[in-house]
Amino acid sequence: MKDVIQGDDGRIEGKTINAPNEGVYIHGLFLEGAGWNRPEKRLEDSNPKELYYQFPILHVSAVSTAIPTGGAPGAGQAARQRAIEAEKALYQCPVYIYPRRNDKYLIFRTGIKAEQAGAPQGPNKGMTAAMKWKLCGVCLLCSKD
Amino acid sequence: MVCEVQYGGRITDALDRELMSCYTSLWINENCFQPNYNFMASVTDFAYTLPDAQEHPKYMEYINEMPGTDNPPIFGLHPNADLTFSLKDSIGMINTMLDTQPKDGGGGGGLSREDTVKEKIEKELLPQLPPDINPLDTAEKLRSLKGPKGLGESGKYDLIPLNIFLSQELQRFQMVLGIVRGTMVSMIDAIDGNISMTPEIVDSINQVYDFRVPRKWQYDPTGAEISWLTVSLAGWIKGLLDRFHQLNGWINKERPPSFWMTGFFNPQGFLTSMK
Repeated sequence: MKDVIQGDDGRIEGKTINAPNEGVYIHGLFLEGAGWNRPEKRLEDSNPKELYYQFPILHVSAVSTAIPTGGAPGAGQAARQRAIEAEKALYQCPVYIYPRRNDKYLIFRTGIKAEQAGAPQGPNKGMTAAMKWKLCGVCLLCSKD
Repeated sequence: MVCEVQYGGRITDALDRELMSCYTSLWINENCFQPNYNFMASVTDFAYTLPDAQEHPKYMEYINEMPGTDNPPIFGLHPNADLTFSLKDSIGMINTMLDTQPKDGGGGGGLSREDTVKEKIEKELLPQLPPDINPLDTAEKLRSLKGPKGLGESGKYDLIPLNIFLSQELQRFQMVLGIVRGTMVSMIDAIDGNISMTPEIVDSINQVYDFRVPRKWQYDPTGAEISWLTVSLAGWIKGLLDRFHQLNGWINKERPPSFWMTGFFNPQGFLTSMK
């Protein structure tokens, strides 16, 4: 059992919200290194000169990331396959307190959706969406300075 | 393999290692042996390839052809990265310039440095500070602060993990608040001549004059961080008020629906206690 944080909650700020049944909501994070596609809840290239993006409210809860192993063929297998696929589509985005990124200021990592479903492969061979954002140095910040 | 054994230099933690393995799996693979392999095909102004040659001069020739400055996209970065880099550079330069400004002198006309600081503290900063937090009151309130969905027992709500976390945050907040109030009062006293000027107080006065945050408010004597780091004094004070607002609302009313995680001293603790 490991905790993972799910971060594709694209709620609009300003609306009254109720506390979630499980876990907590967090707001006030900034996305650095990429932009955010609100309708599709995924990362996209940032606009020129836009260094930070105000990230929507994040729903943090503890879920099991243990990929169901083996088991009977059929239902168990399918669930396992789905879990692996879901894991692949996520970019494990680190969350830092300050823009100075180091171990001391790292709080946790959250999986956020990296790829548009069925996006065409870019010109760079063998590069997955998660790799692209990793090279971009995408991270979430609590504070901009 | 190559990346797993690399350690030191710029690669010092698990995240660095991940990035390194990302680069290596992208660039050090069978593809490089194919003719005309391009490391970053999306970069068009210069083709980064492996020169197809056996002789040393050919390689030198190719290296000399490379552009003098590398664009961020070669490393997979967004062009904005260049902007971030330049911003950091200029902020560093401006801070150095500020440090070289003369602290005394000037003289004649207007308020002196000390009087300006005194007026600023008395009129602006001190009245803004939130009231002290009474630990006894807090304990009382925590006991009756309900958790969601009937969590915890009546009268013992202070044992809910998130409420314990809240009490720790309040304690730390009160500690910082005490230091801030104490420094402000001793700055005024020292300026008035009631107590003697120590180097520490002089430093604080200079920092307030320059709209920067007194060192004592951000670090304890051992150099460990005790509060949030900001560039300007106004930003720091705003952080203080925003933090107070969140904690105060939480203890006096109820658990907020959404948390401002930036406003916690110990965000890891927050995530642990919410599980």
